[in-house]
Amino acid sequence: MDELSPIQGDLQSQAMSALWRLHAGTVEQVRSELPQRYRGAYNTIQTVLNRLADRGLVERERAGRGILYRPRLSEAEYLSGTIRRTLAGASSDARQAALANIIGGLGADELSELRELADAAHAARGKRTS
Amino acid sequence: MIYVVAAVVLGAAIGVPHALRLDGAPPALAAGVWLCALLLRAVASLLAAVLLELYVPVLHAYAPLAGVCLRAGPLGFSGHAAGDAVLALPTFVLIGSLVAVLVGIWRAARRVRRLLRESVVGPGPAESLILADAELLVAAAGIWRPQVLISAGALLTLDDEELAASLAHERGHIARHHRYVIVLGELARAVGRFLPGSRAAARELLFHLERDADRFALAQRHSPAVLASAICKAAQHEQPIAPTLALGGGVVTRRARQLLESPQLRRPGLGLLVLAPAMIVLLTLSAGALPFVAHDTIHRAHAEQASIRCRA
Repeated sequence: MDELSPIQGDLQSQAMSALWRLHAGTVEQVRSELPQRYRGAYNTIQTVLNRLADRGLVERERAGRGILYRPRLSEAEYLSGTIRRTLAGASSDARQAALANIIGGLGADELSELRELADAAHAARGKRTS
Repeated sequence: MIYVVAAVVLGAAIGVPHALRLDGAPPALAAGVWLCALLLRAVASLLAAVLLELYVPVLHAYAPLAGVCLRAGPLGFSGHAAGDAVLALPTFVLIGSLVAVLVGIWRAARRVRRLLRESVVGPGPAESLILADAELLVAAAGIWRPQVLISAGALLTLDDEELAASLAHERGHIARHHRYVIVLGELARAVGRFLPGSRAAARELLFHLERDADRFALAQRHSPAVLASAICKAAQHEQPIAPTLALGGGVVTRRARQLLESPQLRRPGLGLLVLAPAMIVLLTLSAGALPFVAHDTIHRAHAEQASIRCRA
């Protein structure tokens, strides 16, 4: 067991969150995006990012003299997968009630943005099926 | 008389695994004993249904009812027909239960296919597939083409050793063909579900299959403590999708305690070594006896009717 192991899970999650905020970044960019208590040595963050790449969560691409790390799934996909899987096991009524509950907790701005996103998704689906 | 003896032997064979302590036994042997017990339950239920439907009329148990015949317009009531319907009811219930389980397996398989279609991000470590999911999920899914599924949440939460041990555990399920045992066990449970203890037997079967996969991972030189840690983490998060064998499935506390307290297996006792083949023999005999029992009961019914005609 190496020195990273006790906090490996936390550090991996934080590094991934930083990458989601940046969309893509170098080791130094990810390091500076991390909360203060997780901002370890450059080599530690590089090791964590390389592990995430080995696990298939992050892509590495060469950018000039450095390496750019890019997440292979967005934060929205990450979160919506859980919701989708949870709702897939629920009855139709429970599914609608759960979604209504979530939507009920949103503010007016979020609701209008959600409406736009729903319209865009609807249009994209229509394009795919036609 | 022979039916009474057969019923006692069958009942004893079904009950014996519940009285034994199989937690320390080799998991494959224990799983085999529990699968045989579930299949014996199914055969016992079928025998009971056959005897009820074919043998009870011979005894004229509902002769007074058979004499009742009410005619009220097109909807008449015949006591004989009602008696036949009541006796056929258990058979229909067993068929219904079996169909319900088959539909459940088909729907679950469809859910897994949908999950693979919608949520797969790409290939993960050790030939697994990554799911876009924040929960901690590690599972072997699919019957014909089984695959190890791992969620992004699991990849972020587990450390290197836990991840390797979890993946080895799931590969163990695939390599040891546990999916077929689970499906067979579920079908047997569907037919034998009206016998008390069938649910406990199915739970024990799952527990020993999980133990078998744990042993597979330990044989790949993974630490019992690391595997126990991964199992406990998974059990706090995941919602397994049947027919998957998930890391946090089975009786988690028993599995984790066993890994931590007694990672070495006990040698199976002579009793267990005799019990397993004895149950297989009994299962073969009782399943083979089904058509003969049915034929015998029909034959008796005909003989009875012939004797009534002669007396008349």
